[in-house]
Amino acid sequence: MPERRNKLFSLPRLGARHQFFLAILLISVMPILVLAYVVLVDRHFLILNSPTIWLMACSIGGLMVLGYGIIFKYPSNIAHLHKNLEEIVKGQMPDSHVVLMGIEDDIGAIEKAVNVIIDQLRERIDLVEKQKEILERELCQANKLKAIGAMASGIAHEINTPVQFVSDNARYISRATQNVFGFIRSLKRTLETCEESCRHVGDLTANLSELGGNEDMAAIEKEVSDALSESLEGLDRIASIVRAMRGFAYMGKQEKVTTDINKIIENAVTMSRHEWKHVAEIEYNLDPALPGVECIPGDIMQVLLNIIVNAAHAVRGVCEDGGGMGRIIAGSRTEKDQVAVTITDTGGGIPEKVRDQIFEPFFTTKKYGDGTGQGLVISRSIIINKHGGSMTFETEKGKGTTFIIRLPVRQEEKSA
Amino acid sequence: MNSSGSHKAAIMFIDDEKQVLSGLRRSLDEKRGQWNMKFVESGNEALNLLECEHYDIVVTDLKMPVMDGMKLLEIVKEKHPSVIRFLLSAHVRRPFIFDTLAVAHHVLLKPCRSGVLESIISRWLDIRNHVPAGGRMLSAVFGLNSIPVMPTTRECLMRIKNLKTIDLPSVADLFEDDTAFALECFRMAGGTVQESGRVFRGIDEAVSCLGHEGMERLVDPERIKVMSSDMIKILDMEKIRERHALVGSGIIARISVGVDDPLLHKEIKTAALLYDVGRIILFLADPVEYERILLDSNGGSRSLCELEKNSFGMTHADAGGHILAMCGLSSEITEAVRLHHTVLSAGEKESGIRAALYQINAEINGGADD
Repeated sequence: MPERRNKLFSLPRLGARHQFFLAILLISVMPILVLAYVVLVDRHFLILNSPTIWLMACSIGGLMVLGYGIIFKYPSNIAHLHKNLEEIVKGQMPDSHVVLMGIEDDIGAIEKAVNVIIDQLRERIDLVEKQKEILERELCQANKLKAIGAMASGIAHEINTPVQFVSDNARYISRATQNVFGFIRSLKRTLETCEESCRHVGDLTANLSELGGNEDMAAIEKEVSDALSESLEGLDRIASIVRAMRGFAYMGKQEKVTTDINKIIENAVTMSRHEWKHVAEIEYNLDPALPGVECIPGDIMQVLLNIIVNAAHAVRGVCEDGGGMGRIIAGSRTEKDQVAVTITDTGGGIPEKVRDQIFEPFFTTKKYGDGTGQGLVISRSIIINKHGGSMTFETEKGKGTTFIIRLPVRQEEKSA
Repeated sequence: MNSSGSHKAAIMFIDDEKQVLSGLRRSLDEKRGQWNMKFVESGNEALNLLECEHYDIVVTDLKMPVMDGMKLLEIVKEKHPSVIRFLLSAHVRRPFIFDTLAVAHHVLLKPCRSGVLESIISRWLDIRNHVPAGGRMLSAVFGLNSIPVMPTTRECLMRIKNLKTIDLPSVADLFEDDTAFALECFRMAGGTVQESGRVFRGIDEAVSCLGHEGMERLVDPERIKVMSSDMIKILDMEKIRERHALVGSGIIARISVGVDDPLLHKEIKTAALLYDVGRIILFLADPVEYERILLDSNGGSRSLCELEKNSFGMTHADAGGHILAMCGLSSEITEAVRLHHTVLSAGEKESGIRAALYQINAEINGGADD
């Protein structure tokens, strides 16, 4: 629009300098000509003949041309430029090129220069936007990798310990059974010889204790049965971790599928066991009638892991200050067409002065290297931007913090 | 202190998970005849027991509530420096494993392979049995968790620190130059070995065992301790360094003319590089006493070894042999170092590394024993 209007106003397509010289010419020469004409030809001003009018008209025209330049065109061009440049400086790019009046002269060069600047700026802004997008994606990916890495090392830790004692036990059992079978073999031999030679039970028991079996056998019996039951427990522990690991299968996928949120909560708790096991007990407060929620399961898992690990760190802070074991309560409930997930900890709460900052990128209270300050930012973006949900928290100093995630059960079509 | 000749070794295992302890108890069941084993569930309990009973080795988990394994070993090291300290953990990440060596002698990762724990415990017990009981030497040998290096080495490391990648050739030069630094490299590699029976024959094996992360920790000048100027003067480290230059240039080449086996050649070189480390150990055990002995041996009629034996119960050759065994060097090298002052018997003349080292020592010292 402004382009067209400015074109209309730039009536004579003459450069500013030409206009100026023309105007000076008209203004200075014409009155002399008029005066000369009046003095020499029309002394009485009586004959307002056509040349007089023509000359007068010319000088008025000159004044008008000059006036147009000085009064209208230059101030309006400058105002226009000023406005545009001010916008650029403020960071608002003008929608289109700047179009000034009477562009064939110096001012035209300025117009061209300004437009080149605008074009270049726009290119750079596009580039920066693109880079920002790539960086955000990479950051998101890096965070996901970090979450996976943390989980992988956690899983390794969790599996390594039971593997240690299960294989210790298996080694023992294998040795013990060899002893037992050796004992049985010699028992059999003794029985055979007894059948032939000695008829008394007393001889038999004497022979048995000679084999040194009795006590050993009782001890072995107890040890083997303990070793087996402990090993089975250990295998159960490994199995539960491996089951939760199936969660990894969907970590990479970006499709929304109907998901049992309770299961994701349980998996996230299992996966982060090494973070909380020494500092907190876990309580579940899950709604068994929770509807399936349409979501990207891997993303929700990532968010929950993040919050649980934060909760564990908060509780650890209190625990290390001598506050004893804390609690982390994972809950879920249905709210109309939404599902709410709550993670409550009995940590120290979020200090008042940082409450507004916790969702800001790169904000972290953890020491350098422990946290990047990206976890909650990305979590929130996953919940709000990807799922159209909400993420809030309630916190009380000295009592703890509750994070509340609300997810719509059905995703609307537009939020893809 | 258990001073009787045939005593059972006492070993304590600490882990907050009962099941791990009973698993260990069962898998080490066969060793009951030789080892007295105690299984406790917390660091505090372990410390209380250590106050009233003697233990040769403690094996602890890392991540435990209240007191973690590092803290426990730190206290054990301070209060009972002669106790051998092991870490057995599922929670050690790769770079951190090297930091644990500040307090632990050996780090094993859970789950460790069958028999590894047993064989490594046995190896350490064996070393311990060779060190004379009675305090000073046990504490000196096992209280050692890093070897002080020459100040020039540290200066070089400061320079290396500014480089983006570790400059391996210049680190290799440092090994040649500073016997203490070479020993430190073996110590770090030996303390993190996860297989039984893995021994080092040359420094290249230790370097490859450490890997990039281990090397980064090794050359970290912040971590490294430096010898005092007294120590350098008294031990005449400069002279040792000159000898190394000699060793590097001529003697080995001459001696190994007849040696075809490249492995043997490597072992001779390693032994020649390290055979004097025992002096450092004896000095650290008692600087004043050792200085006196060195002076006596220079002026007096009695040999250095004799004086050392009288005062410390072992010679610097013995001490060197033990410390090298602790660092995981091959038994051929440790034996050769241990016996480098012992005259070869008739049958031993051509038995490779030991003969070579004896010859090297004799040549360097101009035939006379220093």
